[in-house]
Amino acid sequence: MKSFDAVVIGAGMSGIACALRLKNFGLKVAIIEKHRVIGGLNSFYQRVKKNSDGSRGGIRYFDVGLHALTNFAKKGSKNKPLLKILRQLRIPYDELKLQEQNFSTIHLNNKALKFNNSIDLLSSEIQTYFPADHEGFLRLVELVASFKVSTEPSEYVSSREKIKEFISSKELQEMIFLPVFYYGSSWEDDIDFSQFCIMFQALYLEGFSRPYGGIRTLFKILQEKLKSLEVVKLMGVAVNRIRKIEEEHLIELSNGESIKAKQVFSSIGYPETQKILGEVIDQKAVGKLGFVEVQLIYKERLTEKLPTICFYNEDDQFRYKVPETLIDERSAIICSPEGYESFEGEEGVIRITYLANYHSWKSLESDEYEKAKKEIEIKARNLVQKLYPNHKRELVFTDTFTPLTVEKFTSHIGGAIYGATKKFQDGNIGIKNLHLIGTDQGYLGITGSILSGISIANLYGFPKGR
Amino acid sequence: MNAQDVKNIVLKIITDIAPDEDVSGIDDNLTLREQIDLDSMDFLDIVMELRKRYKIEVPQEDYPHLATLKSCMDYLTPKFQSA
Ligand SMILES: Cc1cc2nc3c(=O)[nH]c(=O)nc-3n(C[C@H](O)[C@H](O)[C@H](O)COP(=O)(O)OP(=O)(O)OC[C@H]3O[C@@H](n4cnc5c(N)ncnc54)[C@H](O)[C@@H]3O)c2cc1C
Repeated sequence: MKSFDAVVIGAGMSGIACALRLKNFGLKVAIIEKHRVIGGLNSFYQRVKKNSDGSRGGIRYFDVGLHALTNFAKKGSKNKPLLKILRQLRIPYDELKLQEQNFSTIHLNNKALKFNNSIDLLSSEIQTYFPADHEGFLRLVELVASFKVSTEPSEYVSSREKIKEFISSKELQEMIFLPVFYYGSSWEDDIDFSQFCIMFQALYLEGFSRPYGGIRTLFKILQEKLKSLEVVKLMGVAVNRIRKIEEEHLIELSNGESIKAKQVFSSIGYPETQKILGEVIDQKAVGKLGFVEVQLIYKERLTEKLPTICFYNEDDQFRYKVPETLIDERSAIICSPEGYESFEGEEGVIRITYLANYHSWKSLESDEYEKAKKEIEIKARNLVQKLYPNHKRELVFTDTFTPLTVEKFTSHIGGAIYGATKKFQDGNIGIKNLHLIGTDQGYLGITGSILSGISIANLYGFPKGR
Repeated sequence: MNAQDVKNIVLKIITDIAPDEDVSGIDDNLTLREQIDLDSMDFLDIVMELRKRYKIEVPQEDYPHLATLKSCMDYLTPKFQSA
């Protein structure tokens, strides 16, 4: 039987980052991924293009995650999370070919605010549209800028309550929360204030960028690292069960083989890890928030400048919670990857993401499911038309994924992307030498999950000197 | 191996870990942290590289000895000489 110092379960962002760090420490490491491709929640897929005469054209690539890489930092700047993780993974900054956003918008009711990678734009927008709250906003920025991430578990503080100390307009509060909740909250309709500060820094103070070429650019770099460091990669193989035998873990795989590991790092989620440990799943720990995304592919690239990301809410109240119907069409994220400094594709793309209810989708028969997807595509197209009335391009392809798709491809129970509200900051779920990484350990998003993999690897994988 | 060699070794490791940092003007007596953008994760990497490249062990309680280039030299030179 093969035996390893460390086995990492899942080759998503957190798993790959963790495996690379462990390998750097000189350990014998294997990474096991159920799917044939790496990436997990932040992957990509491809479809063959059909020409108008029906023959096969080239290949279209779709990013699944990656609307935006948060935490943008310029090369050489100090104390920036993005630069820290690149350094920890030994990725030279220039290899990512980061393209900054042009600008993004927050729509609420009939108001809109613009922001970009410099807080000055948002600040001046607020000065114009919410002058009475401008001073409070600056105080909030100051507080957030000096906020230090603590590793100590802290008490939950409601951001909805806390923000009242700074901002009096209910509308402006909602507008500030829109991107923050969408990109960083596993709570419904609120977020812990320390998490709010982390997200505020990531979204408003640091901002958005995208690697030229999309998520594949990052994966190419990570794949090469896994290869050159000789991390053992088992692809298309799932971990079915982990058993404890004395000081080691016995890992049973879906291909019938078993391997041994001194330490296990699991990135598949807390309830999902409970499942392979043979424990009863804590239903409270199953994340609730699911999403549907529609991808609209256009024949031509954009000629006008659209916002890179538009965070949209129809009326004056943002409901960040599981809808009672298939989706909540009153709110959405509209992402135009063409809205970065530079974009590689020949065709145009707009992606529209809605909050969704897993159970509603699950209850559909397969023909109803396909029909529901088509209906939502039409809603998404109408929304684009409403927001960007001058936008007239020929649509050549559409595709939609639902919480069921997410569940199928990432094995997250209920297709939940952000996991549960309970986080295990030290990665400890009560099993010796088994550590949780990824979404249920700490932070969300691409930068967050990479940071999670790195910090837990550093905590437990580093052989302490004698 | 003298103190100067040890200093060069440490600087080489820092440039490998943090290729975007300029190490040319570092003052031996000031802490590394106040002169370049290094955090505790980076210090872990310095310790790791010392072990991998030179089989030099730095136990956790001795990490404060890596604070300045001067203290690195004082602490590591005997270790290199006896290695
Ligand atoms: C539509 C969408 C848009 C997003 N947009 C953004 C964005 O713009 N910016 C951003 O920062 N983040 C975004 N995210 C979030 C981001 O993708 C995730 O937070 C991040 O990728 C989570 O990584 P992870 O490593 O924690 O988990 P995962 O990616 O879920 O990794 C877990 C891996 O484990 C594998 N696995 C599961 N069970 C087993 C098993 N039993 N055996 C072996 N392997 C197993 C899975 O297949 C998966 O590959 C988005 C996500 C989605 C879905």
